[in-house]
Amino acid sequence: MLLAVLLLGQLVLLTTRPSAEGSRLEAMIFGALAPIVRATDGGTDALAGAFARSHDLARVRAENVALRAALDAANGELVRLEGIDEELRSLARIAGAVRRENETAFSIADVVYLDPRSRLRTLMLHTSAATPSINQPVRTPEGLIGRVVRTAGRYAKVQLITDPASSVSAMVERSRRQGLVGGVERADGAALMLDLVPNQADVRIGDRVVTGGLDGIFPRGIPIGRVIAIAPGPDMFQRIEVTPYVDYGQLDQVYVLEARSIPERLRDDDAGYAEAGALPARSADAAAVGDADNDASDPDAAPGP
Amino acid sequence: MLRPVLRFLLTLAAAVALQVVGMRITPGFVRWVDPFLAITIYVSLAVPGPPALVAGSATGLARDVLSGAAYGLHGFANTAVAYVAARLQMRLVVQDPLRSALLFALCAAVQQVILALLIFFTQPQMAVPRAADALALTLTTALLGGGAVALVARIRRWREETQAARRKRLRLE
Repeated sequence: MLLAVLLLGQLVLLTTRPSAEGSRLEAMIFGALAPIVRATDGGTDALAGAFARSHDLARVRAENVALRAALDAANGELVRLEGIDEELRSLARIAGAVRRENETAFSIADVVYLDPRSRLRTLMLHTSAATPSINQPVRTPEGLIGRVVRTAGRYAKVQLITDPASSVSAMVERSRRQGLVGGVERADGAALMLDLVPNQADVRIGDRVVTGGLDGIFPRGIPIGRVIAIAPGPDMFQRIEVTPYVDYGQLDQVYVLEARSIPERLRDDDAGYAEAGALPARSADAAAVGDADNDASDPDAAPGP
Repeated sequence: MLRPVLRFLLTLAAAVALQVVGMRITPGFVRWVDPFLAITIYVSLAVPGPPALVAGSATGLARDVLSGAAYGLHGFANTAVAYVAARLQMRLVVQDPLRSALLFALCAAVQQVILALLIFFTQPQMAVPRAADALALTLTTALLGGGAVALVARIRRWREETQAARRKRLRLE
């Protein structure tokens, strides 16, 4: 009897849905089951969240281990690089490329262009640290290169000391005899001539020639070259041939020294002395070149110092 | 009287929870596992008679509410299964888990047939359960039922042993 009632009731529910009775009964059962469903769903969510968090924690731990390993490696690399840096500083000190007390600061520049048509008399630089300016001396650890005669942003054009229009105050390092070094035309390459050295001065083959520091542009003591030939001149000065220390065909990086220009007022005084004949002729030319380079409109056309 | 009803309601709540968790794992859970059917068969085997029929109706309706199927579909089928299981219980003496599992499988197969017939005749818009799904559900019901019977038998044995040991101690004292 009960079976028949139940089955008949189920059939009624099944066939007459949605009736009011059916909906009410369904709503009642649903209301009874809903809290269970919700609690189970919340528990499942919490469990899944806990699992995800534990998974994340494991991932973070693994990542932490990897990062620590990377940090250790980076620290090791830092120590290694510091060692290399120290070594480079030592080498730079040995090469004489560091700032000395009587020398100005420098910046490193890349040689980006060499002009073969001008027989390597000029080259072009690119500095990454500071914008170059006119008359900045340029050198390598081996010796003097020249001076900046034109700038454009971080680029600079350098007049080499082998340029016949160039003139650098120089001295024989051993005897401290002062003179002027300028470039000469030679078929076999760049050469230098030490001028204004009297015939009685003590100069020998192999003597080292360095900058004299009297031209107001180049600091004293920068190596220029070595004496390779000496001959008495027609006047009271010797003809001293100097071969430069720098191989201009192998230039890669150079040092651009801070400019040490003579104040304008003093330079005008020098010009006045030169006009009055108080300075030698070549020194007067150097003063004139300083004025021309300050113009910097056409450094190639400017006469050498 | 109250205790079996409470136990049944707790079991029903556990079935609801199992279905919810199963649906979170895979949407195909309802096609392959029917904990409400397992409860129906278990109650019918344990308490044959009117309570089994009521339990079958209740579990079937709960299943219909949760599954969103035609209301009364599983109610009818589970009531019929409860009747079949109760009749089988009266005619057979089944105590070991393996045979219980076979009985559960037989009842599950009966439910699938009833469902198919009901759907075919009363719910033309619904699809008849696929044979593979019906087979899977039969197997899982057998596993659930056999496992439940084995678990309950073990618990009973453990309880009896514990009580026997307690009585023994009392006698010694």
